[in-house]
Amino acid sequence: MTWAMLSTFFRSFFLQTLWNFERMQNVGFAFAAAPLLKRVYKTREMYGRALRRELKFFNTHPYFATIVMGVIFAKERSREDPSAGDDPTLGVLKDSMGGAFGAIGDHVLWGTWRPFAAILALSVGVLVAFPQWGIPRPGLFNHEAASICAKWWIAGFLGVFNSVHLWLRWRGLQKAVDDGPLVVQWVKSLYLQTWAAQTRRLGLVLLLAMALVYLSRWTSSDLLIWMVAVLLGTMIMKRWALSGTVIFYLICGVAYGMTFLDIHWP
Amino acid sequence: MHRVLYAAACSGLIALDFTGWGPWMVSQPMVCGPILATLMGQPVVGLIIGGIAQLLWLDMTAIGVGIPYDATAVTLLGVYWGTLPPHSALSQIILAFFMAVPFGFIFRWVDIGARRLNSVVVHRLDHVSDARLPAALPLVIFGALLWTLARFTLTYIVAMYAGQTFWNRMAYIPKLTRFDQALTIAVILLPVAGMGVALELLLSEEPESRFNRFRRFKPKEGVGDS
Repeated sequence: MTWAMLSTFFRSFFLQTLWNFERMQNVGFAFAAAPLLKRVYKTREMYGRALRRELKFFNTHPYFATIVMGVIFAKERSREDPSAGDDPTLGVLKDSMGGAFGAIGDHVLWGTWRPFAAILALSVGVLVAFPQWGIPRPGLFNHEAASICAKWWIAGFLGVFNSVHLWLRWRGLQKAVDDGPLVVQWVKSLYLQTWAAQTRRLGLVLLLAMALVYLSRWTSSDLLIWMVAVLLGTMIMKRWALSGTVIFYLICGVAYGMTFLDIHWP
Repeated sequence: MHRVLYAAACSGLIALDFTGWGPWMVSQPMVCGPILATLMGQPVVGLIIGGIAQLLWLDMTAIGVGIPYDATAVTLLGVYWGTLPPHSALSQIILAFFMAVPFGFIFRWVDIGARRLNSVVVHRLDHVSDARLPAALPLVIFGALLWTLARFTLTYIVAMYAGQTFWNRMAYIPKLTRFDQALTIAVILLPVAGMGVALELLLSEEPESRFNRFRRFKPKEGVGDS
């Protein structure tokens, strides 16, 4: 059983390989769940039919997909007569779990954990490689300092983010295989929404500290006024749903305008 | 030419992260930028472009049927062009970034086309018999993986080469002009703008609602009902 679970775990990374607009992650789901389904269905035809059922529409957050796979396996295993054909409740269960976990994943992982891990790695990397009060103070183009910063960013972000990602994939699969649909109780017990709210607050504190450190490095008062204006202006532009692309070119335009006011690199 | 092939092959592998095998988040700008820049010998270019792109497009990710703007492509192309001069000046780095930004849309369109093609493969799979399905699934998955790698590498070769040709013809050298000064000041302002984007995202109670803005495609009616 452990081998089948390991196989499903590794295959789950291919969930989005054949992502399509019609049925989204269906092929990836069937491919990843195959080792588990093979343990339920002994004949090739029945196994093939079970895989065919998994080729219907499916979409969820990729890190929660293993939980749905585990639940489907547990339900298929518990059927009295697996050869009796389709069980319509399985499709409904799969769809509803996919939708719910998709919403949780988008909020907790994409909307909170990813920005937090990025801000944490960015700020730690910059502070370690370019310490403001350190002696000597390396400049931005110091090759050694840049290499140290790059390592911190890459290792820090991937380490922090993927520790949660991999744990969720593997532990979720284990729990779903053991508990079946009751795995939702386990997910509930993680208090993900509460953790997300706290993480966002912590990320906000980190980001404000990073902004203050960054602003304090420039001594020109003219430039500082412009920087604060850009910070607030970007927040307002984001509220108006302007994209990062528009903001990028607007900032370049502002920088061009600043040269007419004789504001230069200090 | 060797440089283009090497950078495009690395970029193709990095681009597999979200569409092929993962996502491990290697395709995030703050990760892929420094990786490619280190491989090209100038890590500072990756720090500047990757760091700014990460913050500026922090509220961008693929959810549901939405295919977002490709910030990974912007970072990789910007880093490649930014590392073309042996010792890039700040204004050269931002100019490379400036040139790369529209390519995020082009890569997005290519991705949308590729995913439409995936639907055709899925339809073909419907015609495979149940007995052959267990063998067909790994074949289509690994075929799709190779195809994704090939299309990304090819797109990067074309984009990098076109930009490199333009860059070489332009032979941009920093001078004490207003344009050059503006590009240099933009290096100071862009991280601040990125922090503004991140602040707004973290202040939001529903950060995922930002991602929905990029939804353009809806599944056909009835699809998804099982």
